[in-house]
Amino acid sequence: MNDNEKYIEEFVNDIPFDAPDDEHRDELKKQLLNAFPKHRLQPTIHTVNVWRKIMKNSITRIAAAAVIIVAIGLLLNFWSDSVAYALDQTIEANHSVRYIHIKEITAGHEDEPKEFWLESYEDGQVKNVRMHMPSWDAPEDGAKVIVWKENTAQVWMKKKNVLVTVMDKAVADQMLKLVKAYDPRLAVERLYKQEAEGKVKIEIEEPSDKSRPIVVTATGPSRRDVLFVDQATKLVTAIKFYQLKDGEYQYQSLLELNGYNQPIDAKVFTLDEVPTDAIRIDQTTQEVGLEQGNLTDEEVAAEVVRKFFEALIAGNYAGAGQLLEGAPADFIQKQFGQIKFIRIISVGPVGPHPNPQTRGLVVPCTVEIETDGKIIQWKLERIGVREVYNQPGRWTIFGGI
Amino acid sequence: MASSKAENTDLIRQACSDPDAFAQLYLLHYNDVFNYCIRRLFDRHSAEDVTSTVFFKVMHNLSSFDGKVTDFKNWLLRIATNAVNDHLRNSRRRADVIQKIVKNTRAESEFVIPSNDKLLEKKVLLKRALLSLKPKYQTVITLRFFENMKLTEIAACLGKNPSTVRSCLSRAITKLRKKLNTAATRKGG
Repeated sequence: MNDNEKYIEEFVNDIPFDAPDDEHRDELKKQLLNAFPKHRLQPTIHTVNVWRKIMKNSITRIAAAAVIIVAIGLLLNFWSDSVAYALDQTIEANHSVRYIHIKEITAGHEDEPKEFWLESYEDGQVKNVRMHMPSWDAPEDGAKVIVWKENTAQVWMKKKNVLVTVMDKAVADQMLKLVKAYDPRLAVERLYKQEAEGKVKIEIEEPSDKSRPIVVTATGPSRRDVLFVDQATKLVTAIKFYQLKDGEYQYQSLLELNGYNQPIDAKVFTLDEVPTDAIRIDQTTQEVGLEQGNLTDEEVAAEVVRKFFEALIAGNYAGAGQLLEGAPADFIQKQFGQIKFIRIISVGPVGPHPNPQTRGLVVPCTVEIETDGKIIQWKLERIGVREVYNQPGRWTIFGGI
Repeated sequence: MASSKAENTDLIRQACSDPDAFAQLYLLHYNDVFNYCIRRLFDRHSAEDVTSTVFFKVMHNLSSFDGKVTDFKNWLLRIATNAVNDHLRNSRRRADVIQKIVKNTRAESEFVIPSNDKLLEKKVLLKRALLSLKPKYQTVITLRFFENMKLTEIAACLGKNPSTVRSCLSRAITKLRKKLNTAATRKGG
């Protein structure tokens, strides 16, 4: 805790505040119960039927979730002094890695490892990255391949047949954090530093058989890392991670460090495998979503949804696409062109998204549409709206409608 | 009080369609929401208004909550944060709040806790300083110092990245201290 924090903590300590009032609590309870939605008492059959009808008419979920959440499941606590400071790319990168291929095999998901290929410039800054993120990491998106270069990330979601291009600095920072902590040449050295500071206890097992690796076990208060060091090259080739749970160190994951400083084919850092019919959404060449201006988060979320449907009513598919992660007009037309949108019946009330990780809001909306010659109401209860990835102050519908 | 997680999960599920279960859930969390609101708004009436707004929103959106029972309080506080921020964003209302503070503080010092003038004085300074910050700074300060949340918990509650919250909190603390110091100096001078 720093000095400012301590000061505030001491300042606010003991400041008296009004206690909750029983009268208000009981009165509000009455009001709430009087207003309790009656339709909730019965299943919402009407909505379900409408939804089924719509689905038959091929309005399918659109998939354009562009947020890159690369959860590298490593525990960096041991190395906190070395890696916790700002990892901005402008800071000289203190590691020896020019090329590396890292495979992370997580307990329970042995069949689907995460994989990372990294190329650095001579000064240690990140040049190219390729990541394979398995489907279990984000089931909604499915497996993802991410290729990163010059602050631009291309995210290929095979299941959704979508390629999203976004501005991104986080990938480079995450990769720097990874190689700084687990640099095959410097990792053991860092560990000794931690031992000198009393943070871990190190045990070394050096087999007389030179073909077997040296095993360095570092045990801290809540976790244990076991490093395997090649006796000939003195490079760390693998690390096993354990966490203290229920009184014993339980295995979490294995990190394999391969191809240390062996040049990686440039093709690895391209996305040649994306099929020509993939939906391509490039957020780096267009302004995605709606500018927030002076609107509150809830107001702008409702406005995005309103404008999206207004655009569909007007047949402005480019405009609608801009509000749906920047999806191309022809894609929007293909999805929605066969439906006649007549009018917006209601938008809101806006609420928080049920999945906080999305950092979004939910905007219910009811529109009137004509399908199969019939006019029906289409209730959409979970339209997600959030800030555009790396475009603060602009808001978009995400994850389909 | 020591209800199990499973019981609470059931209660949340039942509360979507059963008014009695909803009432039970409401009573379990009323104090949490009110206490958060009063620490953001420093005014009983505003805090009660916003608490009402929060629970109406909860009632209408409860069926969309599909997180774990441990996420429920975070979900509530997130709704409360949005409601308080909306309340404060209206600049006219904001000005009223600040005016009310001055009036109410006088009333409090006379009728509520007459024995501790120093604490009340500190409260006035805190109110003025805190309410003059941007709502996002007020939010992280309240969660950190009144809800005693850790950085990761604040991030989870607000649905933000921990590094974003860290820098926001750091800025908020610096700004608040500066304002408190300035106010204290003025008062002293």
